[in-house]
Amino acid sequence: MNCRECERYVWDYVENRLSEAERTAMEAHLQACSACRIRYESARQTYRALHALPRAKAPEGLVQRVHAQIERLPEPKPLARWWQGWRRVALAPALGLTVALLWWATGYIQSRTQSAQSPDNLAQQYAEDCLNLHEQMEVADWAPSPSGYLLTSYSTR
Amino acid sequence: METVSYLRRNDLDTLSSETWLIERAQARDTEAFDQIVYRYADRVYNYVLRMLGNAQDAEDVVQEVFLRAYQALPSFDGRASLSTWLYRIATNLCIDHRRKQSRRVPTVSIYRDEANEDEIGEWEFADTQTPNPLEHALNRELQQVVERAIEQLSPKLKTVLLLYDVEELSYEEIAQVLGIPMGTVKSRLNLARTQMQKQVEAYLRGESK
Repeated sequence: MNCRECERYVWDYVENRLSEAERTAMEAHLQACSACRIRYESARQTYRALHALPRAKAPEGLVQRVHAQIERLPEPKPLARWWQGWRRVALAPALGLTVALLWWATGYIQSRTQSAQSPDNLAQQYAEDCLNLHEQMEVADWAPSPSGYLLTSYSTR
Repeated sequence: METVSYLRRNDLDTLSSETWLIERAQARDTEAFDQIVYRYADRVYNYVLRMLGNAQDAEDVVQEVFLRAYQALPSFDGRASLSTWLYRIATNLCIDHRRKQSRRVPTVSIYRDEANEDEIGEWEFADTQTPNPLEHALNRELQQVVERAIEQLSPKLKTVLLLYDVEELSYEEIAQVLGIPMGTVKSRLNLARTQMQKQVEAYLRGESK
């Protein structure tokens, strides 16, 4: 083990987390290197001091003060309480429904756009427009079909 | 073996009684919630006090921690332990408090000067076992070095160090509290300890001169 490795594993050594072989190597290095011995000693002292720090106790009456604050809280409305309890249960199907609706809406809009722009649809629309025009001009007798009317009307002009 | 089985049984009893308390408190039983506050008040207060360094601020924040916990308890799903959950709330409130405090005038710190020893009487600390007066004095001096070193850590490093070395949470629990990967917990802890170690090393070198 070298000084760099010793520095890297010093906390694991302090916490007794090293394997038997690593521990032996660490101890051999510490025997030989005074700089790493100081480093180890400071790490050990730091660890010991940290774990021996005095623990503060909560001030007297803290529980009572918390209790009093809770008692002063406004009572949650029944609907809010119900929602709080069922929030998680309701969230999953609601999310699923939203995704399904979005998927359906996207597909619907796409199909509408595609069908509106397809050549067959353009032709059908064109034919319907012609039929309307035809009916408006009251020439149904001599023009049996929109295309026929068009041909006739265009040829007579 | 008997001790082990007793401890396990005892742990299970504690766990089941805690589950029962949580269920009662979720149903708005304030006495059950009082029991939860009794159980965790010291741990949360010790952590918050070391995070903030001021007793009055710590008390206010701890009250807020339990108030928030009571309000949010119906949504507590038990995926993390109750203590982990409380530490998470406490950490967030400490960060908020420090943010607000940074815009205000600094308050008196618990990290006392040696000249101001009388202040120690203001906080109720648990007894520390010390074998003799000389060792006690040396330990106190080292503790002051360590406490000052803690105070100088950045909030990120301080949080991890306090949760691991003082509150004795596992890497996994700290990762849950802070919502960070376990590798980040380890690297922050290593960095925090190394920064502290340097100060202790300087102190020890000063002693040896």
